[in-house]
Amino acid sequence: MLSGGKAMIRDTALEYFELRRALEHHQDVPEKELVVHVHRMALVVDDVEITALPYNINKGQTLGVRISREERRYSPGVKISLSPKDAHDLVFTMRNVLAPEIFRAHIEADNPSASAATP
Amino acid sequence: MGSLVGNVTMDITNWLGQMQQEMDGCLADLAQVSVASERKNYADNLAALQFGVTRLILEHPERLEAQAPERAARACFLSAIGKFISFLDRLIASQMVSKDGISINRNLSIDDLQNYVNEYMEERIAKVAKEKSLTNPKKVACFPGERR
Repeated sequence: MLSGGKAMIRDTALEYFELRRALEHHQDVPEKELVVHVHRMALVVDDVEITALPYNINKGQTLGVRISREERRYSPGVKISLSPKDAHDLVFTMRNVLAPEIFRAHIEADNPSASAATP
Repeated sequence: MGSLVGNVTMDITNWLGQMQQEMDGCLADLAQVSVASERKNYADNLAALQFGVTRLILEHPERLEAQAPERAARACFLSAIGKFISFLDRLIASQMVSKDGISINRNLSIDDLQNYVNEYMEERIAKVAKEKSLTNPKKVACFPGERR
């Protein structure tokens, strides 16, 4: 369900549309500052992100996965340059956060009793 | 004839999975370009591409290589967000069908019913996609709990 995070889902989707608009219709140059949020998955050891491999993990430490929400800023009048990592993070967010949450809200609105069965 | 109703399914549960698969395709294409560029074999790959007896010949492949990851990243995002918008179109069309029902404009046999429903749904999806007044922000606002 979108409750709680619904504003975040809506606002993030709107940010993505603004980014698309700048890329598609304004030659990659935003008219105003764009702030775009992404969800990024990271491997962590005791809450410290692994940023390079190989990485030594000692006995007693805990390996985990953390999904963090981060922002990317694009200045007005400055050409947007997306890196492959930027694109990955944007697509990851649409694929794994925005679309499933919107789908869940859609299913629940159609059939509130089905909420427990939605993915 | 008019009183017979067959079994009709409108399975929307795979729409999410389909869209995710399409996005995976966008990421896979991005990965191909990124890895080729990192391994410095992007230009060689260009030279290796053949269509039958025709070979792709591009001027200054090294310049293309320099910009390739950024170009691929941009294309990846735009392609993926296009799929995301199409996904919203489908859900909105489904909302409309749930609300309005499916009007039957001709006699249908039970065998025809499923095809009719499928075609009707595809028409509604296309209509949503083409509706100019339904901007992308308005599409997001179509979902429960969202601001209109």
